[in-house]
Formats: sequence, structure tokens, C-alpha cells
Amino acid sequence: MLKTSKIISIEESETTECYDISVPKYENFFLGNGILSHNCFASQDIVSIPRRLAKQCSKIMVPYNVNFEVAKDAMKLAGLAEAEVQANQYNKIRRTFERMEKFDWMFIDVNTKSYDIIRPLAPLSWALETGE
Amino acid sequence: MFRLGLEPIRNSNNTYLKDMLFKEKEEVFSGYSRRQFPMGFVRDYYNKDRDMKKLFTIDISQAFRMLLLASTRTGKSFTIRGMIDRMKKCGMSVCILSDVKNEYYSSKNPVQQKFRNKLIKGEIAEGIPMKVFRPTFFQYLEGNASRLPEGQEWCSIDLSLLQPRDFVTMMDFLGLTKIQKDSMERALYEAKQAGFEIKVWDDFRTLIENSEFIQGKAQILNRLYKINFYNPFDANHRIKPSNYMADGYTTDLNLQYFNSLEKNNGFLQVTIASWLRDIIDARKEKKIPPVMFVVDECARIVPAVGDTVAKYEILESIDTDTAYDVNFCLKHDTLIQTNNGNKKISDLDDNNDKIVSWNFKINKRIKTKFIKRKPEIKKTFKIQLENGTFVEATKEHKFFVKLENGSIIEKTVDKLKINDEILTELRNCEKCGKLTSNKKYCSKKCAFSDRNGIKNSNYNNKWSNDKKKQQSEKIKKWRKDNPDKAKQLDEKCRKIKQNMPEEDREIQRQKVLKYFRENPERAYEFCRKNSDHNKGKKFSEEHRYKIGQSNIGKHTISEENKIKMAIAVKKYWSEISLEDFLIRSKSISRKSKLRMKNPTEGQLKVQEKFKTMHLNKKMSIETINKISKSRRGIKLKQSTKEKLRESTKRIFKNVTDKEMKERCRKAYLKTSKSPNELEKYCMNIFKDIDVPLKFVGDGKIWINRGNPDFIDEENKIIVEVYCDYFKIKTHQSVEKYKEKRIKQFEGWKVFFFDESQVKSEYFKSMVDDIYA
Repeated sequence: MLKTSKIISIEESETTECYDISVPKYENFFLGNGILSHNCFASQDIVSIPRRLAKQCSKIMVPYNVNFEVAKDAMKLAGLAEAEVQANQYNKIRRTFERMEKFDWMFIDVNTKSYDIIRPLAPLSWALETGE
Repeated sequence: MFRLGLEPIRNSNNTYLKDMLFKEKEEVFSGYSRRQFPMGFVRDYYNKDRDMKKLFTIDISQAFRMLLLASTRTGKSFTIRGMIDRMKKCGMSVCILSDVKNEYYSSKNPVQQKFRNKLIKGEIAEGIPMKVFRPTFFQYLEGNASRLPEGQEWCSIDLSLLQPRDFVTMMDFLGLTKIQKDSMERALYEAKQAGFEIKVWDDFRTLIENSEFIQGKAQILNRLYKINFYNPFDANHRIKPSNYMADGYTTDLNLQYFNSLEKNNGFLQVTIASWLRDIIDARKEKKIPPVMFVVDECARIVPAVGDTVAKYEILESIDTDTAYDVNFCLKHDTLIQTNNGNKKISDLDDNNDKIVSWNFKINKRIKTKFIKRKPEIKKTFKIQLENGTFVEATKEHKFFVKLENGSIIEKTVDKLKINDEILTELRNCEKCGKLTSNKKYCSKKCAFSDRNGIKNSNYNNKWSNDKKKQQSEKIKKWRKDNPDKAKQLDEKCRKIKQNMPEEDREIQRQKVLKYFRENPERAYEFCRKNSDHNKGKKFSEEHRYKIGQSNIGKHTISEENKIKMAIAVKKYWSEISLEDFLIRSKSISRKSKLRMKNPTEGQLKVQEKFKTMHLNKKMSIETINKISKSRRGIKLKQSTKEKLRESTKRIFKNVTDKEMKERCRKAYLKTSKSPNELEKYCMNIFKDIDVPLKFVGDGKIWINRGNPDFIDEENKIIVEVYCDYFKIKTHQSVEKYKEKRIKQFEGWKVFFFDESQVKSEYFKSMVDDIYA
């Protein structure tokens, strides 16, 4: 169970190496001493789909760590909402989405009203890595 | 790719010809085309043989817009880089309009070796030529010309490409009233109609000076002077991106450190607009091939809702309430709860570890994957809590704070105040009262002492094997010398065990079971060790009899022991050689035969009793079941079979149809256990998925003398669940069984699932497919 504990003091401390971690769906994590911490860079996670922008696009891609509500939103925009009505089909999409692994993308084609899960190809030329 | 043959492939279980035939072949590179563009490999989580084998392509013969929505570190830029390189190979030209992180500049070098397994098989990795430009106003705005990276060039805005609205947009940068904007646009429009061209910045000034429509001229002219100070129209750096694209280069507009600029930056918008106009014109004249535009980090470039660009209000935009810089939040030695215990944040591995997070919807702890970034040096703040714990984080990091009204909000460290209540997961130890993290007791010592009421001084001691032997010998000696005291101690221990609360005992039992299920080898070793001390001992008949008597009615074999026994037996029979197996099986059958041939006096008495005791007696259902269980598997003689047949015929002679049906059903239920375990398993799954399949396998519904397992009468669907072994036994082969069933249930859609399919992970999706 979650409980609360009052803050006694806040003091300036040393300047040291600091790390960032983020949990995609739940946006929080427990520290070793039990404190519940918020995601470090949750502000950059996608919460909703810009509708007008998405409506102008015939292809939409969302990554593995996006919230399923966002993916569902994208599918609705692509005209896959009928799938939601058919509960069985909808469940299948949800289960497929939940299986997505790191670097997987959901590719939604508005024209054909279909979706696929793909693992993108690597670039042919030198790929810049984070921190380089 | 796959070997065809009748033999199964080595080192793979249950892979036969049919599986090999239906395996998807891995895609091999067959050149680039102008129509089909390769995006990646299709993931098929339900079929490992097809997973990552099929290439996913999209049609690029017609223009389209693609939206990639993703947060940081999801491989967004990596994916786009792959697309850019291949678009080039497919004969398209590429223009990156907003390279905010300067990450798209191409190298002459091919992709790193570690990424080459993510290329199409046979595809060649190579460097792609690229021209990177940086707008000149960055130089003047930041006052630092050395920001231009190597191999890149400055570029300025070409005045001849600007529209009247562009001029107004630029003036927006310094702020204009609505009336001023309208009047200026009108003046520019009319000048253009009259054939007046703006070639130099001074032309623009003279136009405003001479115009009759413009209001507040002095203010505007003052602003024009300021814009000229930034020198965005430097004649030496005017470029046309289309010229480079015609030469086969990919063009890139480097907007690194764009954050230092104001949000609604007129220069930026006009630069992008002029580039677009130039490229579109070149394409219309067919000077360049079809173009792919990449607008990266568009949330930062697109103005926010409510902003105006050249007097036009923005109605919808991407959420711009995001920070560009990532917050490097927690100190390197901060401990994080993971699936492998507490770990330092610096030691966390986002590929192997899972961290514990809280699901607010169901109020439960959940172990999830996470993303970790590279470290940075930052100033930290120490937050001390009432319960004695503390945390060191940067001022941008957020914590959950509970308000007085019970609602939970997120607060950054710099906004936290003393007496704010932070969410934690602490509780008091039930023994000593110390604070622990999600445990009943703070330590093993506390747990032990609280349960048994005795403090064992040797608890938690780690002794070597020699030391353990010495200790056990000591105890044995002491037991011999003091038998009375030993008895007393044993009784005490027994009492403690008896008084142990059932909850604790159940927890203990569950833990052991879970451990043995996960580690069957360890379970086997454990059984082996326990049986070692009795190994080779031969008990006398009296002793055996005593053990047998003491066990009667006392011991129901616990699940734990059942598992242990099953594992041991399986292990024994799997390890035994063929010769030993034959000898052993023969000896067992010989022993049983001998027992039958030479029965003891007691056995004879029991046999005689059995002959007479059942005559004219009505047995309870339990006893009938017991007898039927014991008789299962016994092969009856032909004569007895005939006798049984005649007796049943006699029973069914004078019976009505309804009664007959009911009797049939009962007889059917007696002969076969219904629903069996497999059917029960299926029933649970169908309930979970909310599928209208009802179980009728207990004889409720008969179709052409056949009783289906599951039925959906509305959709006319029948689902049959079976085990290969029994169907082969009764119908010779599974296929014959299926043919027979399909004939029986004519007019119905019949689906068959064998045991392996039902118990696989994909059964739910298979059932979904029936209704799809």
C-alpha cells in the first residue's frame, strides 16, 4: 500500500553525475527506500494524437512504448474504429500491441484501413547514437 | 533457407515436413524500385517461424504524408535515417527541413557493424552524400560565428522568393499590431501587382516609406533596421536547395540550438517557407525527382495554438508544452527497486532489468521495462523525510505529493515545501517497529523470532559443510546423553509447529511450491538428499508394517510431495536405459503375478469377502465411482463383454424415448469424465474472452448421434477439443476422426483444437480468428 511521509528538510547537495530513467506506461517507479518517484522525462511522452494533423496523413506510425489509448486513437482516425465494435478483433489488436518489443512500430495505413507491426530497417550510412 | 526432408531438423523439437513447408522464407534483397519502398520487417508474435522474415513495403508511386509520433529514445530518428537513405536509393530526393538536433548530417562512412543485421539480407551499407546548411541569422542572434560545424555551410533567405505574407511574418518577430500587419500586407500586395520587385532589403524600406496605406511608419522602419542588423539576407550565402538536390545531394537545414531563439521566430518560418517554395518550383519544372520532406521535432517549430503568423491565428497545433532538454534527475548512487533486488541507478541495464512501478488504476505494484539515458553532471538537492529516508535529485525532478483533500499532484523539487507529504511505500516492522519497504518484517531475524517466540542465536549463520557436520555430531551426542531433555525439546518444537498460524504456513507452503516448480532440478536434488540417509537400509517386516499402520488415514499426500514424487519418478524413468527398463518392467509384472498366484491367508479372506459382500447391495455413488476408477484400463474378456451387452439390451427393452435419452446421457457420463480437464480449461478461456461457446459435451445436445464439445447455436459453430493419443486409439488416426465429425455435423462450421494448441499462448487469438 502507498503511504505518505512528510518532508523535514530540503538542502542543496553536491554537484554530481545524474541519471535519467523513464517508465513508458505507468510513468513512475519506486526508489530503493520506498519513495515513489515520477518519470524523469515523462513530459516528452505522447499523451494524445493531434487530430487535424493526423487526418491529413495517410500513414501513421506509433512506437512500442506509446500508451495503447494513443494507438487506439490513431486507429480510430485511420477508420479502424469498426474493429473496436467487433470486440474480438479489438482484443486481438490490443494483445498484439501489448506484445510489441523495443524498437517495434505500429504502422497504420489510412487508405487500406490496415495495421502492421514492423521492425524498421537500419540506415545504410553511419547512424548517429544518442550522446555522440 | 530451410532443409526439406522427412527427418526432423536436429536440435529442434517437433519440426516436421509440414512445418517446414509452411515456413516463411527470409526476404533477400532484390534491388530498389521506384514503386515499392522497404520500411522494415513484419513482426509476427504468434508465429516464430514467420517473425521477421517478411519485408514490409509501402507504395511510393503516389504522394503521401506520414506521421511518426514518438517520444525520445524510441528509435524515431534511427527509423527516419533508414528511410532517408533508402529513398535516395529508390531515386527520390530528400530534404530535411528541421534538423533541430543536427543529427541527420550524413557521414561518408557506411553504417556501424552492429546495426548491419538490421539491413535486408544482401543489402550493401554505404555512406550517402548530404549538404547541410545553417541559417545565417543564428550567427548574428547568438553572436558566435564558430557554431558552424565542420562540412556545413551558411545559408541566407533569398528575397526574390518571398511573398508579401513572408515579410509580415518576419516583422512579427519584433511585434506588430493587427492594423499594422493588415496595412503592410496590403501595401506589399499592391506593389507586387504594380510590378515592383524587392531585390535588396533597402527596396523594402523604400516601399514602406512611399506607401500611403501603412500606419505607424516610424515604428515599422525602426524594426526594419533591427532586422537588418541580424543580416538574414546576406548576399554571399544565398542558396537554392533545389540546385544541390538536382546534383544528387540530400539537403538538410540545421536548426541546432534553435531553443535559444524566440518561439514564434519569423526568420525560421520564412526560411522554411522559401526552401519549400524553391523545391516545389523545381519539382514542377521537373528539375528534380520526387521529394521526401522530413520535418523533425515539428512540435518545436510549429507555433502554439492562439499564436498568430502573419495575422493568421493558429487553430490547432501539436502539444508544445514539452521541455527540449532532458532532465537528468537522480543522483548516480540512488537505489531503484528492480526484479533483481535494489540496484544503483548507474548499474541499471534497460535491456535486462525491470523496475517496479505503481499502477494507480488497480493499485498494484508492477514490474515494467524502462528507458535509461546517459549521465550528465548536475546540481542536486537532498530531501529528508520524516521516516528517516532521503533522496537526492535535481530541481527539475518530480515527486508525487498528497494534498489535504486526498488528491495526488506532481511537484518538482524546486516547488516542494517542508511538511509536504510525499508518496512512499513504507510500513512498520511487525516485530520491532522499524520502517521497512513493503515487507512484514524488517529482517529475517525479526520474522523468525516473531513467528516462533524463540530467538535463535545461530540464525542466519553461514557455516561451512565441515562446521555443519561437527555441529550435527555434537547434537547427536547431546541427544544420546540427555534423552529426556531431547524429548522435551522435540515436543516443544512440535507445539510451535502446531500453533503456527495457518496463514504463515500457507505462505511458507506456497513459497516452497513456487520454488520447486521453477527449479525442478533443485526439487529432485532435495528429494534425493532426503532419501539418501535411508538409502541401502533394509527394514524388517515388523518395521514396515508399523510404518504402514502409522500412515493409514494419517497422511494425505500433499501437493508438494506429489510434485516431488512425480519429478523423481519421471527422472528415474527418463534416465533408465532400455535394457534396465525391460528388466524392471518384467520384475514388476512378475511380482504382481506371484502375488496373485500365491496369495496370503489375509488376501484370500478378503477375496472371499468381496465375492459375497456386493451381492444385492445398493452401493452409493462414491463407491461406484471408486470401483469404476479401479477398473479403468482393465481389458475384459470377449465372453464377459457379450454378457454385459445382453444385460444392457435387457434394460433398454421397455423404455420410452425421453427416458432412453436421459439414460444414454447418464451412461455416457459414466463412461467418460465430462467435462474433462482440457474442456474445463477451454471453458475458462471462453469465459475470459466472452465468446458465446457453450459446453454441451456432457450429452446435452446430440447431432446425428454425435455429441459436440462446444456449440454456438446462433452462429452455427462447433468447437471440438481433443487429445491426439485417444483419437488415434479409437479412430486409428486424427484425420479419420475429423472426417467423421465433419460428416456428422453437416451444416455446421466445425473447428478442431488439439491439446498442444489449446495450451499454447496463442489459443485466445485462434478463437478470436474464428469470429473474425
